[in-house]
Amino acid sequence: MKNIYYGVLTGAIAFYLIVLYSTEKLSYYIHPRYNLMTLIIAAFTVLVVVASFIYEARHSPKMLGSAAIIVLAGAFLPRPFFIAIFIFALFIGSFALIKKKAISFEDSKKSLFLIVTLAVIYLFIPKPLSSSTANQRATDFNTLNRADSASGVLLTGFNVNTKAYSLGDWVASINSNPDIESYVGKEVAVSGFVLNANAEKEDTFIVARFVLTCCAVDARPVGLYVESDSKQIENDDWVEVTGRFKIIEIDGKKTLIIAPDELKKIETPRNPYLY
Amino acid sequence: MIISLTAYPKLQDFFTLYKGLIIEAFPFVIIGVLVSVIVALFVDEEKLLKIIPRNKILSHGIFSLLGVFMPVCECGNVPVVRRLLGKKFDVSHAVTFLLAAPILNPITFLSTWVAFGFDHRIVYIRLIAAFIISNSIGILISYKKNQNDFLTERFYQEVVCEHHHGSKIEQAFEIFFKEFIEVMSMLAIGAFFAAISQTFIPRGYIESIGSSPIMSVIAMIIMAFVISICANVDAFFALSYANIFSTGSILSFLVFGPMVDIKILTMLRTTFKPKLLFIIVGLVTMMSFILGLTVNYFM
Repeated sequence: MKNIYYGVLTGAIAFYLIVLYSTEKLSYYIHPRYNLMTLIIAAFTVLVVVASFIYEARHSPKMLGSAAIIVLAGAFLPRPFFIAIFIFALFIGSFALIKKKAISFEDSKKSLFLIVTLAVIYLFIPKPLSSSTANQRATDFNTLNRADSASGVLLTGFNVNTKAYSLGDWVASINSNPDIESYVGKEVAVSGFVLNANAEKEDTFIVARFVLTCCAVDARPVGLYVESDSKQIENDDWVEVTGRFKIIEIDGKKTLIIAPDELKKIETPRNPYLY
Repeated sequence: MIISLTAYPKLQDFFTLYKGLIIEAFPFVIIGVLVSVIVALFVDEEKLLKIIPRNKILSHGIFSLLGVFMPVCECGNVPVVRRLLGKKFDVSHAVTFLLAAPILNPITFLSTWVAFGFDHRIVYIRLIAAFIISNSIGILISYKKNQNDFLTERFYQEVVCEHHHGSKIEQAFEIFFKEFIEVMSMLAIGAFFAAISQTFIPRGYIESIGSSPIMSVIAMIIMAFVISICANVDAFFALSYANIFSTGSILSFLVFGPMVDIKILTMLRTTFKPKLLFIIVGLVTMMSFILGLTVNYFM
C-alpha cells in the first residue's frame, strides 16, 4: 500500500513535467537544451510508477479496476475539480496510512511536503519571471545592457543592417563596444517585457528579458530604455519595439534610448529568456 | 493550471522560482535514486574492498573515490558506512568515505557542472577541496591507536545487517520510491527557503552579507548546516545565491553541506560517539571556512 501511495506522489510530479513540456512552458523554468532530457527522464519515471502499480496489483484485479476508474475520472472531470479532489485524497491517504502503521510519522511529514509541492505546481498557471524579480536582481538599471551575457552570436551587419538583432544581441554588442555614440541612429527591432514604466524617468520604460545559464534560479535581467508616453503599457506586458537609438541623460549619465516608430503588445513568447 | 497570480507578481515569482528549482533538479534526483537502487541490489562491497592496499595514504585515497560506485545521497551512504564498520573496516576509512562519497561521484559532478556552467572552476575546486578535506581528516583519525573507541555501544549491539524482503523487483521499487520521497522532500524544503530569500527578503539585507568576504562564508556554512539538501542536487540550490554571495562562500556551502548537516549528524548519532562527531564537525567547518576565505581572496 505504501509503495502505491509513494508511487502516486512520484508519478504525479513526473507527470507534471510532461504536461509542461507538451504545453511548451518547460522553458519558463529551465534552459531549453535540457527540455528533451527532462521529458525523457519524467516519462521514464511515470513508466516506473505504472510498472510498480501493475506489479503491486497483479494479484488483485479490483485494484486495477479502481485505478482505471481514477484515470477515466481524470480524463473527463473538469480539471480544477479533479486536481482539488486528487490533492485532498492524497492528504487523507497519508493519515490513513499512518493509522494503519504502514508509514511512520516522519515519513508522512515528508509526504506532506510533497503533497504541498504538488498543489503548488498544479494549481498555479506557469508564468516566466516577472518585473518584480528584475527589480529585485538588478542593482543599477544603467548597467542593464552591460551584463556579462556571452551570447556567442557572430554580430555581423552592425554597419549595414541591425534590424535582426535581438535584445541579447544588442547587449552582447554594447558589452564588446561600449562607445554608445556609435549606436545613435541604428535601427532597432526587439521584444521583451516591460519594466518600470514611468518609474525611473518620465515617459520611459525598459524593454527587458532575463538571461539564464541553466535555470530560472540564476536569471539576471538585461534591457534597453525605450522612450514612450503610452498610458496603455504596463509592467510585465510583452512588447515589440521598432525604432532607432538616440542618446539622452538619465541620472546624469548619457544613456542609449530607443525612440520607437512602432510599439505593440505581443503574446508571451515560448522562449521568454536569453541564454 | 487554474489560478493566475498576475496580480501578485512577487508571489508569482516565488512560485516560479520554487518550481524552477524542483524542475531543474528532478532529473538528477531520479538518476541518483536509480544508482541507489542498482548499487543496493547489485554491488557487492566485499569484492570491491578486497583490493584496498595497505598503505595509509593510498587506502584513504581509494576510499574517498569509492563514491563513484556507491549511492550518492547521505541517506544512502550511512548504511554503507555502517556495513563497512560491521565488517571490521577502520573508522578512519569509513569517515573518509562518508565525507567524500557525496561529492566525488559522477552525478554530483554532472549537476554541479550543469548548474555552474558559467564558471567551471567552481566544479574543479569543489572536487579537489572535497578530496583533500576527506582524506586529511581520515588520515588524521587513523593515527589514533584504538579507533573502535569512537564507535557507540549501541552500534555493537545492533545487528548490522539489512533484511530485504521480497524479490529483487519488489526491493527495487521499494528502494526507488523510498529514496525519491526522501530526497525530493528535502529538496522541496530547500527550494522553499531559496525562493523565499530570493523574493521576500529585502535585497539590501542579503547583499551586505553576501558581498562581505568573511560574513558570506560564515552565512553559507550555517545555511549548509541547516538545509540538508542531497549533494547530487545542492548545486542548484547554491546557484540561486551565486549572484549575490561571494564565490568562496558558495564553495564553502558546496563542500560543507554534503559532509555535515543536521540530517547527517542525526543519522550518525547511533554509530559514532560524540567526541568523533565533534572532531569531524570541527575540522570540516574549519577547512571549509579556510577554503571560502582563500577563494575569496584570490578570485
